[in-house]
Amino acid sequence: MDGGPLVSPVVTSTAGPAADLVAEVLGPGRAAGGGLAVRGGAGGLVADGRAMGEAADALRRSGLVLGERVVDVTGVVARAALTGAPALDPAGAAAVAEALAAAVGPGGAAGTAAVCGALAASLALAGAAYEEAERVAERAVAQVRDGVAGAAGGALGAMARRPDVALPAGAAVLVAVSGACLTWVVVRGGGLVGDLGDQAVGALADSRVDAAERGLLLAGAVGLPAELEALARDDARASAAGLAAEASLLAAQHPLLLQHVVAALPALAGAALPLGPGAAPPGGAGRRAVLEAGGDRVVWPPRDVADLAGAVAAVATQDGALRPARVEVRAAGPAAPVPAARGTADLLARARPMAGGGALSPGGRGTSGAPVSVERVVDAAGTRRWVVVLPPTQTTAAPWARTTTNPADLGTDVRAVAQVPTAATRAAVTAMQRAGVHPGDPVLLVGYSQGGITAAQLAADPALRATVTVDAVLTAGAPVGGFDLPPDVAVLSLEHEEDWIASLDGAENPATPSWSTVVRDLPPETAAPGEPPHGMAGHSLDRYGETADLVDSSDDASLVAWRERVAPYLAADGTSASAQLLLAERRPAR
Amino acid sequence: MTVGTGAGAEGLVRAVGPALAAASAAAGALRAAASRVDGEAAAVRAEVARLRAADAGGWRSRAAVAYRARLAELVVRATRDAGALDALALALRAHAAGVEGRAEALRSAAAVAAELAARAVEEGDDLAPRLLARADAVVDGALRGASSWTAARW
Repeated sequence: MDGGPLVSPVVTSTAGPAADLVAEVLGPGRAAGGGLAVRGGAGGLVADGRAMGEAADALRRSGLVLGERVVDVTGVVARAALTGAPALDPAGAAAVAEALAAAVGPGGAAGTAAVCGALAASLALAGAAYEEAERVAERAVAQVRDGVAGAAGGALGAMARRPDVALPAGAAVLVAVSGACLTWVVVRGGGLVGDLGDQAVGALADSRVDAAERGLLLAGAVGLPAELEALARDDARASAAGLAAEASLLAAQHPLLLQHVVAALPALAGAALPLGPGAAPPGGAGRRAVLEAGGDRVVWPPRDVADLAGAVAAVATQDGALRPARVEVRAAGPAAPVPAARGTADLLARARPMAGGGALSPGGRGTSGAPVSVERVVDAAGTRRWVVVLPPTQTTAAPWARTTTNPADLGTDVRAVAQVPTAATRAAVTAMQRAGVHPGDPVLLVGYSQGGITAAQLAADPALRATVTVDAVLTAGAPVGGFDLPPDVAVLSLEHEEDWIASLDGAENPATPSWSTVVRDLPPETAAPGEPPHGMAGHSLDRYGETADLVDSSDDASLVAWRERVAPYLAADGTSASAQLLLAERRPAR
Repeated sequence: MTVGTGAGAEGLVRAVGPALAAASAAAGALRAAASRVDGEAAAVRAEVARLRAADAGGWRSRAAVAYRARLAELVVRATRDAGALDALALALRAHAAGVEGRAEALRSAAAVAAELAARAVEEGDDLAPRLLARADAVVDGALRGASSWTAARW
């Protein structure tokens, strides 16, 4: 720690020795009862090393100053007593003696000086404990990432150089659990993307190409999706269904490993596909190729998961510059009165019909619309607020496939993680406008899985926030750690230890005063009742509903603050609510 | 005898003079000490303001809540210390006033002794011993009446 602000994602208390702090750093967060652990929020930790050091110094100085006052005052009174005054006025002298003892004795300034010194020492120790905890955590995280990179790097690099060589089994599992789509495209498509040529990408980065050349390069890339589709078909035939199940189970059993695997992917991909100016170390500030077009943004070598997803999104998803699509939004029916939500669990339950098996879940890969629920809540004073529920992934069609019109597809997942515009964000904004949400109206966004990513993306995008005033965000099972959410937006993220989907951001959610993350380690008996374990059990919306119930009854300071923040959106005397369901579908660009 | 009685009374009156001077000096020293203590109380109050600022702003955790509670107690305690120093200054000033009151009593005793001595001269030797004893008692009471008690306390 260099004395600058320190924001630790998980340290929540300085009680106990530094070793306990380290345990908390590497653990899920502070225990909040009911099997919950909470990071961030109003009860979360922000430790400012500089402020703590300055405060400890100030306390030490104050202790010294008070000690000097004790010596000075005692001396002054003693010298006055030597004049014989006590003999002349013994009663007055006795009163002075009592006042002196009260002012500078153990119950007075002398004791206060001692308390000052002790408190200064405690504060300095706390700061040192934070510092040590942070150092240990950083070392541990670096070691895990280095280990993961070392284990998987060789296999991935070899794969990128020789696409015909089968991945070793261990590496194949890592690849599968590290975001099948992202890794698959990067690894298998490596040779194809390489055809663009290092010099051309370098020229783009140096702005040495004009619009015509840029157009040619883009045109050259247009052919990629078709070839990738052919590769995908081959892989689909080759891969056993059991591999995916095994991979997801492994990921569910080792969520921390998965998170670090994902975090290591950008560096691995950059090393496997050394395009562009090169010489940019992973996470470093070296030269990088940057290509922006039609909302897409490709940065190579990638600095983080968002960059990597951006590169994939540019060539392998609908809605981007290469395959532009528009979104149509229509009302599914008239707005209808509904009971206002009673709490966090009730808010999250509004996503239930949109999730797998729900009435608004189309399933399959064909033509369908993604639902968006826009609920108007009017309180007793007539103030209007909105609860907007965004859909999870609703189709399993490949990101680049045009077999579905549903914007809530895998392509939107990739684009949302890349933080580039998606059909889902466009659908959400249009749905809100269609339902009557005006700029300035407070909005609470609720999203499970992809819905959570879309909610975070809406809240994080300044352009979108100019259209929609996002006041609060509730996410469940969503990899949103890469988003930089503004501090005036209250965020509650629910994650399960066993939910590997939530780990695909490759990062912890930031622990800030406005962003609380609840992590729940699911009891074995509720992970998969009566069924063999499977890797998606931790992602179940029903399980997240249970977690939300625990949030509603928790007395953790962060969760209490969250409930107070969203209380105006919930049921109360004189409050009424009505919901409008809208459906969004992709249409070919005109 | 009349001459001896008068000389004794005069001796008593003369003995009050240095005591008066000592009392005046003691009272002055006590008032000066009170002023110094006023300054010390002001210094402690300045330290209270610095303590209030030592809240490690930006540090948020349950430990930080506990720290700030202890800091608040410390501020209350230091504020109380400053008040106690105010009380000490008041006690010193009251002590000075008490010493000055004792000096005034000495002056009165000296006057009484002088008057008694004069009456002893007028009344003759029969009354002189009794009058002289009364004068001595007045002055002694003023000078040393509580000396033993004071020594026990200091």
